[in-house]
Amino acid sequence: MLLDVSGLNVFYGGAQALYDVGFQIYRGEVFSIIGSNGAGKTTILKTLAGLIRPLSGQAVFDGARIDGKNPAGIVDLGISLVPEGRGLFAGMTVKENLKLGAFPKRARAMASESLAGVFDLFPKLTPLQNQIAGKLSGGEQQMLAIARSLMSRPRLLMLDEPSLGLAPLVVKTMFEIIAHLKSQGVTILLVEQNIHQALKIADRGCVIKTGRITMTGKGSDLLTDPEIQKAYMGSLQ
Amino acid sequence: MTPGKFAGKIPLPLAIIVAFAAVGCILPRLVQDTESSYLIYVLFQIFLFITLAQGWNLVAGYTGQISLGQHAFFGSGAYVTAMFWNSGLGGYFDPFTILLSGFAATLLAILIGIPLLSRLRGDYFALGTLGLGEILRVIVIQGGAITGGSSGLILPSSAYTSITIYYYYSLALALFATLTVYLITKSRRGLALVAVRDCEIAAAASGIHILKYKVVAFAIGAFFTGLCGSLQAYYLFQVSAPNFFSLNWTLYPVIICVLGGVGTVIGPIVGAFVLTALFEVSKEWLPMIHPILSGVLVVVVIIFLPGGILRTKLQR
Amino acid sequence: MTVDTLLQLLINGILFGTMYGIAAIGLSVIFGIMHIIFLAQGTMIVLAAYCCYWLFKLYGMNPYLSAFVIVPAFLVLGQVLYHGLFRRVSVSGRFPSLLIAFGLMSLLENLMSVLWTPNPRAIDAVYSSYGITLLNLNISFTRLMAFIMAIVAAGAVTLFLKKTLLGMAVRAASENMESAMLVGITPHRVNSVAFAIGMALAGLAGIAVATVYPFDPGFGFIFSLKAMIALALGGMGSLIGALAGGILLGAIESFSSYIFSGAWADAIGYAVFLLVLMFKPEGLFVSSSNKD
Repeated sequence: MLLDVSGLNVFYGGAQALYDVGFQIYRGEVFSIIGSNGAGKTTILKTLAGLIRPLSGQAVFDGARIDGKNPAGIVDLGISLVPEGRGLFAGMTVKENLKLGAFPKRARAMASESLAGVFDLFPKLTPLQNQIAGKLSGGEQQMLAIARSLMSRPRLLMLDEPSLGLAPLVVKTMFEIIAHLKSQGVTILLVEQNIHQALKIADRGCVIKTGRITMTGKGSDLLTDPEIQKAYMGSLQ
Repeated sequence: MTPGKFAGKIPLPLAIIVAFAAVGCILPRLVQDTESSYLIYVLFQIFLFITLAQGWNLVAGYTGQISLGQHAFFGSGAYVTAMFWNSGLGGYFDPFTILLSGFAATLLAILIGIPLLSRLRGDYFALGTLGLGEILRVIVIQGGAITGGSSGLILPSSAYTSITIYYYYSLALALFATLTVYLITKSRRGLALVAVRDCEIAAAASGIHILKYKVVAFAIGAFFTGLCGSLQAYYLFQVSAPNFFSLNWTLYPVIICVLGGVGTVIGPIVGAFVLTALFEVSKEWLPMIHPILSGVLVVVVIIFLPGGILRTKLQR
Repeated sequence: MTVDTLLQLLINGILFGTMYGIAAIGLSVIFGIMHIIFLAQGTMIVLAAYCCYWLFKLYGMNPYLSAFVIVPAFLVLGQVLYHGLFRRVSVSGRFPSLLIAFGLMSLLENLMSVLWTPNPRAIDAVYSSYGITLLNLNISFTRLMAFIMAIVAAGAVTLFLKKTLLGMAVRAASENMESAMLVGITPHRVNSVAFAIGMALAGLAGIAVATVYPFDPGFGFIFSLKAMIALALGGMGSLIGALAGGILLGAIESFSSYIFSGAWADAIGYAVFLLVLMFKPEGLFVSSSNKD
């Protein structure tokens, strides 16, 4: 088990956002958290990334407690969050964004190696190296955001709504990339509103509703679960 | 401020104000010789400080804008009083002169407030108001005979009768200022002001005319500050640029509110008492440190006592 | 006014204006990351001016050489100030930080007044009245040196921000602090670096002030104001803008001083500031404001 989360109670903006949240993620798998807007998905990721301090509960990453740790420490341990909206340094170039991705000491030594690797993985970024990040298209920005996270050599990659605001064709590419990353051995925690894709690619996942985990199970099981189909995918099928 | 209720019905701040008024009015009767009474003198100072502080409090606490230009209004009020009196049109504690001083400060606030507040930049406002005092000081010194130049104006001290008029007048100002802050915060406008403070964007979205409220708050604060300046002019019987446009007149309300709690109705009162006590003490033993003490106080209190002595938490 | 006089005033203004620009760059770096205008910038400049003065008076140290003492000292001072005063309140919004800066300004100004008297000081070195004559214009040596120091400093800061990883981190944190945290950048670290840079620049500006004209503790406040006006003229976002704003202010002052008088020059500067705020708050040199 790579990540063990239990009993997480988190307050955000004065109100309780997470109630007793818990789940486990195993090495090398894709774990998807699905739920509607405002259910608490982003709050979970932000808490795990160290941006929010939980009131109670714990998160253990490969034996080390990460709840309440500050973000730099968590990145050092090997967890990287690609935030919702990508969180790029819009005024800086693609290359600068990537270089900053290797800021943690652990990743700094391997920076040039990582850079080459990332351009291999995302060949589309190579010609855009000196472009200002803010001027890239949505899909390119998402790739850059993921690439930047990869620069820190994470053991757990957390993706917050990677398909948000992207055209369907680009979304497809995005999930292909995620599948590819998985095949490279990266453990992935995926948070998505695109239920269908998220569960299709997931090994395991859970459903969150108004701050509470309501269901946990294998991706394929959740995908075919009638309740989920009814609640979230009504208009799709 | 979440008001507790006194005797079940009356909100706490209001009760305190009333008690304050009552005690304040009775006190001079109880004192043997008011002229040489240290208590009366100190209270006069405190009431002046309270008024000054409430003027700043209204802007900082309720619209979230930090004005560092109170000394501009203080000095303006003082100079208008002095110039008017000198010209023969005004007089000692003449209501018209006093009102004019207040309105001069108010007008200044409106003129300066509109450009400074019209952009969502609290920082510009702070430094912009800071500059105002400086610029005014410069202009006043250049004023020649009208403003008395760098030496200022002297007023006929023969007009002095007793200290009690200063006492009662400053008491009235302090009560008036505190009551105004209280009423404004309770009113619909007041709620609008708090909305402005807490989230400008949201407030704008709900259609509150932000600029108007900010400028009005700023203007009212300036009005009280101008009256304080006028009072000080009457007390010292002279005005001069270095004294009356001194940054201290901004520093004092800031420390007082920081000590007592910004954005509360009673905070400035508490702060004024504490600060005056500190000043009186330091005057005895550390006369030179007095101005430095002010700066140190601000820094120390903000770092270690956010919310002031009463540990009040701003409703955010 | 002859063309010569015009050019002379212009040159003087530009040369000294770069110093306002340097102070403004310091403000800009601090503002970019902490979102507060460091009110005490001017007071720090005066402090540096005093350091320069005393080093000259007591140890005969050449003011320009003292830069090698003062700038590093102020780098350290910046870190100390940040960790001592601003660190704890950096999370509580801008209000407390602004007030602390205000308190610091008052405190220092009065302290300097008490310690070193309010009397004006000036560095009267051999070369204080040297000038170079170029194309019929008299360029004062000290102003020229001030200009050179400013350009070098601006260049150094730009290089640091562009080429070093730490500098990039400062830029990144100015853009998006949350994302910066997500790549492992610690806010306190970059904040204190920004502060250190701001102070180092103030140190340099102080040397310029000390060599060019007489100063006293009260100057601190005026300098803060001028640095801020320069920043407003040039626009918050760019370092070049800050420098340009300073130069523009220098030029305005130069002309105003000549036509009216020193005191009115300040008032005119302030009036220009208000006008810019009203009509072009993003700065005169910024074409569009898609940032902050």
